[in-house]
Amino acid sequence: MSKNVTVRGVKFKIVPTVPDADHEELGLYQNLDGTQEIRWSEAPIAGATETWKSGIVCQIGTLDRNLPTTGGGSQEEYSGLSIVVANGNKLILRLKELGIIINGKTAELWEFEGTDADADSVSSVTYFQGTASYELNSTWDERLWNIEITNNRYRRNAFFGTMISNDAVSGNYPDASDDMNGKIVPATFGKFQIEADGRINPAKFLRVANKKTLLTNSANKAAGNYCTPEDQSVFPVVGNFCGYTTTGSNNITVWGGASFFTVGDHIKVYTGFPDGTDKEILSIGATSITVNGSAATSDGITIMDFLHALNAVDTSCRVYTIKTGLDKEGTFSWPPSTLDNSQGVFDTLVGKWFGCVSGGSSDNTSLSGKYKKIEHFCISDWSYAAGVCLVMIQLNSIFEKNLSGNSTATATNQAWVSLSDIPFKHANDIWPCAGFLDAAGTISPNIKKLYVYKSDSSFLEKKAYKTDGDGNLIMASSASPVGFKEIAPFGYNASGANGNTVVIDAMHFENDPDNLVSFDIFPVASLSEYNGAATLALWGFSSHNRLHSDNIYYNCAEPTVHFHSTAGTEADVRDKNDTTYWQHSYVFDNEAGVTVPDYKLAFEAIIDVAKITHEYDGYYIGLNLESHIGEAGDGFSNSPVTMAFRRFMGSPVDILSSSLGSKYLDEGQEADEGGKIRCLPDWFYDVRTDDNDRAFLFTPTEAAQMRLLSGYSCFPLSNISTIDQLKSIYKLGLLFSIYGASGVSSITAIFKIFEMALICKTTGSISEYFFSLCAGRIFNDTWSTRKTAADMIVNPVDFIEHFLRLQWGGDLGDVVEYGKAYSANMPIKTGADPTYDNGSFDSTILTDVKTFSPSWQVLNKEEAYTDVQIGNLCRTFDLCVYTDISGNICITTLDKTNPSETIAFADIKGKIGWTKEPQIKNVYVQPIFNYGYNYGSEKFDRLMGVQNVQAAVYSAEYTPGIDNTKYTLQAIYEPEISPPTTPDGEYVWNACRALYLKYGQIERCPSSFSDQKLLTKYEDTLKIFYKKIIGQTRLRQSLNVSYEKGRYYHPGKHAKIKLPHQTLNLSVEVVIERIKIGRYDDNIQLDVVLLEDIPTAFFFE
Amino acid sequence: MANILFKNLAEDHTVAVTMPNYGYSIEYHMPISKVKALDSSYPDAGFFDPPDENEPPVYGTFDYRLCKIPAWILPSDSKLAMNAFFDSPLYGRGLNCIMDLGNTSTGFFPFGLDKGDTGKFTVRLLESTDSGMRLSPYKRFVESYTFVLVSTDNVAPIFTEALQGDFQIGTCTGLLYPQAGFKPNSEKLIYNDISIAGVPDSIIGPAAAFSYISAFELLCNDSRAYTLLDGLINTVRSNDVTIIAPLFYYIFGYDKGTSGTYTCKLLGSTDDENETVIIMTHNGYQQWIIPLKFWRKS
Repeated sequence: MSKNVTVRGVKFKIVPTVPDADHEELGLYQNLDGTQEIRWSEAPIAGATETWKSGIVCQIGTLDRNLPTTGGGSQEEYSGLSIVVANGNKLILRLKELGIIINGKTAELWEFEGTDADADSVSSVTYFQGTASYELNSTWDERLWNIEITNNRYRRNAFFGTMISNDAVSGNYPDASDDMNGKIVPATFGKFQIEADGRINPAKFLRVANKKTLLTNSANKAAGNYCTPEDQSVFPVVGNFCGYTTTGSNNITVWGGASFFTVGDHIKVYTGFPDGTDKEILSIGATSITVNGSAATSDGITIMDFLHALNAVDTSCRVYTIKTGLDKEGTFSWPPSTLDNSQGVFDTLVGKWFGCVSGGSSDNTSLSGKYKKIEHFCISDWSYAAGVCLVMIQLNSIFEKNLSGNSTATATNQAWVSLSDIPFKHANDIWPCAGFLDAAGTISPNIKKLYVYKSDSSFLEKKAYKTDGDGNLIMASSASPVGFKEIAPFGYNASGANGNTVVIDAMHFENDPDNLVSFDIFPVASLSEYNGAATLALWGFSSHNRLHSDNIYYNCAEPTVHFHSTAGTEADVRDKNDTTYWQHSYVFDNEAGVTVPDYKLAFEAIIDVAKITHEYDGYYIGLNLESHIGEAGDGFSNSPVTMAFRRFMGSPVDILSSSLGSKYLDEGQEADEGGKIRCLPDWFYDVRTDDNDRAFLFTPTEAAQMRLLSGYSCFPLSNISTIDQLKSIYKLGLLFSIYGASGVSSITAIFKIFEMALICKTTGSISEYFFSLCAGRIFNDTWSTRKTAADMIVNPVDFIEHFLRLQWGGDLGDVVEYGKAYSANMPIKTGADPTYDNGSFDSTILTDVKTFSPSWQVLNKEEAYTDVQIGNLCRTFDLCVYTDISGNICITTLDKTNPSETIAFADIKGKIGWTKEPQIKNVYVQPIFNYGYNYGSEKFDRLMGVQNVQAAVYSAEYTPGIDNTKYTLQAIYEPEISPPTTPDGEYVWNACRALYLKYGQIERCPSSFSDQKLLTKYEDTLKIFYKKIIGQTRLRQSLNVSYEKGRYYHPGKHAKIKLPHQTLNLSVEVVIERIKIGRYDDNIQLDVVLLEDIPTAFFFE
Repeated sequence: MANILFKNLAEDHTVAVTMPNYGYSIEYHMPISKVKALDSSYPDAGFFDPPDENEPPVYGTFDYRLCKIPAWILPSDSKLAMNAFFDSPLYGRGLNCIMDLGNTSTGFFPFGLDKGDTGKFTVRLLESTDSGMRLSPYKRFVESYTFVLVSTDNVAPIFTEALQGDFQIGTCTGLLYPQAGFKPNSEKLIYNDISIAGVPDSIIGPAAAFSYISAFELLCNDSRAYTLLDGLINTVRSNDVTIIAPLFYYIFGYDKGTSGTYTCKLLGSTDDENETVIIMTHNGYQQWIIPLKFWRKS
């Protein structure tokens, strides 16, 4: 047996290469593959596969590797390695003359083991790879040059964020507003879902396209055309197509619109620009417009599309004509021959926004600031002779009132409109994400749940008594009035890509499309005939309204009711079917001397307030009903419907009259006509024909004429703005009144109640961001067949590997962009781990930690570095990242792994250091965990903690936030007790109580311990919470071993120490926290953390 | 004079050099830690002798012995042979090797009397120093060598019992009165100082915590040295040991009397708190110099 010779060396990779590089006297070598290296050995070596230059390196210093584990795992750190070089023969100057700068170069530390004649006959190992630095951190004089190796080669702090730039040429988000510049697109990791405890946990989607552009016609000038004025941006409404009826497949009768047209004028429609030819599709007659159907159809659009067919009678309008200035010089050729993308406003109107700037409707309702999206448009030339261009625009939905105007823009409340480009794009990442989630957590490519965050500074938590399942009276908190509020999918159309981008097409909104509006609609709990009192005094009517029979009250001479029958059932008013109804039919006879009939048919409804769990932005009553009145004689007047509600205290409040200023009157003059109230949207019904929510959105100005009352806002619940006020409502009254003039001998009344519901409105701005349930980043690569590229990254270990792969792009010259793409050459340690300590990312020692599923977002630049995120993951989940001697990036855990390596007493060199107990100030015996970070409130939603550890006996109130019906922890830590007997809260408290008895001091739990932004799930948090608690008391031990024993040790290495005193000769698992590898004194200094308690029973055997 | 043979472990390469002269030492290292408490005492709990894994534990498993030869006079040919052996990675460079004393009593006890002066010792050279050529003795190289004993099967030869005096440590009787006397050192927990104005200031501790240590240097023949070492490393170690002193010994000074029986703790030949080291210097035929310190327990 002979003794091996060991020699160390340092190699610097010269990238980029320099000319004239082969200088053996300097240890500078050019390899056959063209690469260049400096190779210096501390002693002569022979027979190695590469030539090494000795006599330059004087000393390779102590390699100090540190992996602090206080508070959790971490990444390996380097305090620097010093290499002392003899600066003989003007070494530094000669290297500089060759253009070689060591600073920043990859440095490899090598160790050869072999014989004097064959240096690497046994092995040659690169035991550390770092980055050289001497210009900043080193010194040199005539004799010596001190080169510092300051960092691990693979530890690059890559920026993975994407900064938003709206630069028109180079910007990645040209439609972003200026204030978005410099912000980053969020990065989203893990599942954002409705958690098991009901907590809504959506991710934030930042608006990356929000630059509103006001369109003008100035672009036409550049195209050789002339508009007057050039920068015109506000246009008058000069016509509309409100109220028309179809009289045939090709004829449209314009109701109220004929005045906008001149008989004989023509309308030419351009669709699907550029078409190149104009089509005459309409001719205006005295009372009708004739349609050239074939021409329209050939353009790919039918006249019905353009002028939107409605029911036979309709007053709402979504087609307007606006007037633009044009061609005052007479050089303009109409129609323009090239209506293409250079034509300014005209060619880009589809998808743009039509906004009312001033004016409004003829009834003085201001519509200023309200927008609608342009669905189609055309240019009509019927007024070309007047030197103006009229653009006919079809909106995708109606305003709540019709815009008013006339051909000279002089109408009362003349509406002026603007044309705007309001782009929408929200993103939660640039890296492909798995998609969106529904309430059940199922992944979908399309957005399923969109939320806005509502905050209310006046929030006071409300508590109320209720009974539990055993009938005991308990205190319960009401739902918070602040928080995420869903915007139902009917409020928008959304499209996206890569699971990380959403383009919102706002459908329901208030004013501008940034403010989405959504409705929760709850059918009434019940509706019944009312006869609960002898008079209607309780509903605010005169006590002269007396009960006759059934639900009939009279305020006149008592009628004779010949007939009262019903059809359908009460259930029909809450079945979400607009074809079924509860009908009440009456026949009154006035022959008993009633000269002026005044009857009231009373119903009462009850709202299902239990379903209202949080505050809304508005409360309305939704109705779908019809009334038909017939009378046998002259003089019948009207049939108003009254709605009111009774509160527990105070007078009844009239609902219906508060909106329109007077009770709705059914002024039907003909027997088969009637009044209608329809203010429920299409989507509310399970069975309903789509009519674009016209009845829901539009509030007609001239209701009497159409005998239709619509618009959800018609019936606001007066004085009701909070959930408390809503819940004070006792009953809703629905009363149909029948008035008549004298001489009416007989009245037939039929009331059909189709639906009755409570409408709760939610509004929310998406101008800057919204929130959605979603699944974050995917692997996007198979990682050498280890993963499925399309799968979402779930567990902490995979997240760390994801960041590691992002932060290494290879040596200089690699084209992979750090932080944005993976390198194919990332040296990640993978594969089986038979020793439970080889650092593999696939090791079975990571099985437990891989059951955790964190979710979090990165929203600011400071956190958008791989280093920061890896550090956070390591700290939270007790993971350690280090590099092994082969240069592989490895991972391990602070959990016990049962390693095979043992450090025995005989391995110790010199004095064994202190066994250190934790400092009391760093032990938190009453710890707190804040988790469930809310990206809306930017605070934590959930807390678990431990209190009153001084108490002798546990009480459940000492562990807020911990479920004492479960026994998770004892099942894990004491599996021998089956079934477990100690609930989780008590188990945690017992551990803290033991700490208190041991350390006797209560320290403030700092945010560095308590704030857990990565944890969102209760189960994960509980397990981590307990691990952190017991991990606070880990002992630390310093010891030295020989170079032979520990030269290839590394931070994060698991081993067992077996020392007679410190561990009572028992094998106790440790993990190396710090290692100082010095060759010259044959001494490896280790700081280890004990992962097991040392039993103390030894002393009392 | 007999030679020492150094062989590689395979025993296929041997060098022979002359025996070292008297003056070599054996250091016996026991990893017994000792803590000196604030009251200057060495309470029992302060002595810790690490046991091995056996049940009941065997003490001494982690002890080791050094042979220190401070002045080995080597002629140039021996020096050449030694260098050739210990500089070769095939033989003695960083490797264990065999020190072979042969079968005949040599009088050279490299690792103590209990390991004898014959036979083979597996050793490792820990340290050596070079010196220039000496003019006297001419063309000799006087160099120091330190070996650690790795293993040996050698056992003690039989020493004829020969008592030298009336001093007793443990079971070792007949020890000679230390020729340089005892050097008692008492700590009586009094801290005296003087203020800047010359005002005396004193702090005193309780008399019950007074501490007494005695240092002395024994001169032993082979029989006493063997018996004493055997007792100290196998029996005494970190345990209490009884010292019996005749009249007028005053081993702990006047305070603790002219004679008597003292219960003590062995501190060793050095002041090291992390181990107990016993140094025995073979100073001549039947002459072993053994410096020792004891702390008086009661």
